[in-house]
Amino acid sequence: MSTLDGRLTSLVVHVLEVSPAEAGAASADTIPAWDSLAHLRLLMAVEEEYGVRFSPAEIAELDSVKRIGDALERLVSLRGSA
Amino acid sequence: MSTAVREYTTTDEGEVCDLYARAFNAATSEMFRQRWHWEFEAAPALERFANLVAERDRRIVAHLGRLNVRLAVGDALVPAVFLNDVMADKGRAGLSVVHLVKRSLDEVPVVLHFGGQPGPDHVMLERLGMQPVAIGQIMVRVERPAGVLAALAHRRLAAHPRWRRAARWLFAALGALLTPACAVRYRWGAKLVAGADAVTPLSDFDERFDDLWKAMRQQCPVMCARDRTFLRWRYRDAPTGEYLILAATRDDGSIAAASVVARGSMGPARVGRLMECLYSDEGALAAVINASLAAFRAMRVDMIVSVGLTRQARELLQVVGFQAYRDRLFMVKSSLGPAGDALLRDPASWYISAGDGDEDFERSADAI
Repeated sequence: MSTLDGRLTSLVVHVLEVSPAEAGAASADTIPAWDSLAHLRLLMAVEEEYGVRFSPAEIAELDSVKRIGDALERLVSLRGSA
Repeated sequence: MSTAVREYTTTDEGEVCDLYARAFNAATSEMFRQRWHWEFEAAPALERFANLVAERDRRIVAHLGRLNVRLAVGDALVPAVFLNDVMADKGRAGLSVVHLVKRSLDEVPVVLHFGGQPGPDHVMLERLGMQPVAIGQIMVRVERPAGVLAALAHRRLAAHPRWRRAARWLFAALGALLTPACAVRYRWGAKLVAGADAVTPLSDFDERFDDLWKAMRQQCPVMCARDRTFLRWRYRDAPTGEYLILAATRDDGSIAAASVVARGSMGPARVGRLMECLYSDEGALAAVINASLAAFRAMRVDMIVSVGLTRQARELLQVVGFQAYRDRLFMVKSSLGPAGDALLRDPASWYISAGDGDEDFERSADAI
């Protein structure tokens, strides 16, 4: 996630209103404000920022910043190799 | 603090009612409990998918109601659920609602959602795989403008209870001024050219309604089963609301068309609801629409609302002054394969009404 996490954690800070220190390790289990609607807002903000689209199957699985970052790296690399 | 999704069991009732009180309204919690048993345990079904709950730290933090229906899709009758009564404990639920919906979409052949204002909930359902279908047209006919103005004021004055109580008489004069314009716009007194079948009130849905449902199914390949079993559950056994059945009967005693009408309220206004219009031919449909309008006049309603129905029914309602208001959102996801999916996504295939989902209940009047 190294190349992505600066922008990604900024989005997390902005959408979930958490501190930058918390953002990197944030997950739906640790941040009370990260509920289902906030989750969609966050994923849609990430999609817009990176020009990617998460599948319906992925949406329920991306419940931490780490997982979102891993999925992003995969989608961005797929786009690069296309 | 992981989230566990499981089926609702009877021992969860107290916790789910508490969740309802926190998520919606403690004052209506007992009404919810009554409706809940009828809606989720007694609805006629091919296969019963239980409601789902999400637990965190052994505490229920979210609930998803699944109203089981028998959905006709072409020649087949398939199990389907309407998603409703979504409740979540703010600040504790995490991604519970996403998980509850996702599990439903994965395990039920056809999942439906009907209602609510356009908003984030619908975006979430769409992103999880549901697709909108434009079948929920709401039509309105104003009967008494003063009552409708009072209802609108009542809604806008939510923060001022004293003014809310005064709203009805306050608008009497303005309503009187608007009466001539409303009489023209809403075609008061207009009647459809109808068939010769006599329309009478019925006290129950008997076996003749099974034949009417078969005739209706020929016209609309996609609709929730409306045989007498469903109609009795939906309108005779419902714990809330009283419904009037009107039927156009042929000389041989068979039913050519039937409507179900009800009177509800929206603040101080009386709202007539055209719940169903089932028919085998246009003349009989016209006859039950005329009879329904007469019934609403007798109920002294301020406005009449219809939701969905068929294009043919909406065209006739326009002839007698109903105006298109807006669309009630409807979404669907199926795993029936390409032929079934194509039928489900075609608005012309559908019959849907205010009798479907939980359109008829406490939140719907405010959503008009």
